[in-house]
Amino acid sequence: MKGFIDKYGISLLTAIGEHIVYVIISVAIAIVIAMALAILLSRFRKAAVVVMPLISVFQTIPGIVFIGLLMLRLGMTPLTVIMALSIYAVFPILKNAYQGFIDIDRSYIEVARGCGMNKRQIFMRVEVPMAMPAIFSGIRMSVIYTVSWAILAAMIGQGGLGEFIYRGIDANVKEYIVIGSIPIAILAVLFRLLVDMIEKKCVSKGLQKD
Amino acid sequence: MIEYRNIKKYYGDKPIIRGVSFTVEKGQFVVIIGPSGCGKTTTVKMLNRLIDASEGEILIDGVSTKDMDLIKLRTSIGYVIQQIGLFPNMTVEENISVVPRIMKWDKEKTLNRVKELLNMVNMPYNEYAGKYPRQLSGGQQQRIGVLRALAVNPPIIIMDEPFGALDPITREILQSEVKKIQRELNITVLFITHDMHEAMKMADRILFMDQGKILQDAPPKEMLLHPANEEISKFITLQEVSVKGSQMTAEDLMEAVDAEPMRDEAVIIVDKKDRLSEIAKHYELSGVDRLYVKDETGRVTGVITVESIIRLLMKQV
Repeated sequence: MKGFIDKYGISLLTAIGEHIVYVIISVAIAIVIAMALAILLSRFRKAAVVVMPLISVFQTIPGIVFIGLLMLRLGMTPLTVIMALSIYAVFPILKNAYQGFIDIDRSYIEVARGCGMNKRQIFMRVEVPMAMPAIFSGIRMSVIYTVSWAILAAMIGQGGLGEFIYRGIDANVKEYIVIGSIPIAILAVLFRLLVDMIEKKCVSKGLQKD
Repeated sequence: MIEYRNIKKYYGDKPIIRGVSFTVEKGQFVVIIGPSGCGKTTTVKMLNRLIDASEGEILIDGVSTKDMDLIKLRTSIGYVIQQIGLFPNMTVEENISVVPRIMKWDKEKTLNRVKELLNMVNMPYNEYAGKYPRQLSGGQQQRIGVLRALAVNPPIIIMDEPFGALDPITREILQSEVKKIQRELNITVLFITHDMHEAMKMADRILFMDQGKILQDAPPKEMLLHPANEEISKFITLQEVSVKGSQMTAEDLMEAVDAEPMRDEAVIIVDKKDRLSEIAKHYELSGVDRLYVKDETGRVTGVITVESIIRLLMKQV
């Protein structure tokens, strides 16, 4: 055990740190973009009918291809990694948030209008709170995906836990693959718990299950 | 006073409302009834301009709703709808405070009003204010829906089939509560239903609508006794409404007495204007075998027993 820590400790911790930073920054950017798009598209549903399938087609391009393309344009920098991960992280949030907005029963909106709320009040007091549970399921999915997608960073030499996995595959050393994978699984679980915690705080108790 | 002047509404070329005119006096309880798709909801939604009329105008106290500030118009008209009217993300208190918040009432005034309103329907503030709609029964939710509409004391309230989803007993109780509150506060109510029993119980006047037109505009008894056409009388017979049953009051059923009830028995006193349905409810709920009837002054003037009802029915045969 001591030997293991001496041998891998520092590099493993660095890799975990890089991995976490990639995930947090990418998902944060994705949340901003996805929310803006979801709000826009839920207001212009005719456009959404065209846009949403397009985005979902885009989503099927394998990450490895996409990061390769971005690398050619932007070079092998952490920025490339963050851009690629953010773009991939957008879709689950966008899809869920959009669905969350359009699933709100029209009668709630109508009652809100009938009570005298203006558009902004309806949005802030009724639509956003009611879409919140859906938004959080999107974020949860996105975070978990991003934790595993972040191994792509290593493909262009930008660190993260992928370093161990790629090295293990290249050199055919199972040890490395395991050392890289276990922290990824643990990170996925921890991030999920973190999202659950934030969700508990942000979603109205009236919309949470006991 | 509300005045509909020759209101028409088209969707595309299709006429939905074909020239509706009527007036509602202050404090009147007007029920609009008719088969589904007759245009009753559209008609009423034009009052708070959730829908705009294609032709004609609606005046409130002489001012056209088109010339009013939309938010002012809507906050001055309470709005209650069926079932899911409450915002599920808000507590009871927040739901009731929706309109006060729009009108920027200060916290203390809002809080006092919420307490006062909850008191009115016997739902103590400490117990219910923090609850969410999903934690309430259907009847309680609908009560809160009514309170929300009453929050800023609007002179007019619109109710669109508010009790449609409730069980019969809860519905009866809420109907009585709403009618009582409406009388006490002298509120003008436009009430939509497709249930003739409900219309008979609540209305000062009933408007019968079909295919975007008003077929008859009359007080309940008159509509029952003299339906304007085949359509209406069919609607009434279908729902088995009879004057004898639902219009009968405690006064019709009682036998006169002038002795006060003995104080040691469990005494239930009903108002002489109470209808048969309410009296039946008392029988059911309390299990007593006699009900005392009081007059306007609160003096006991009669007693209703099962025998007195049977005797009355015998006379009618």
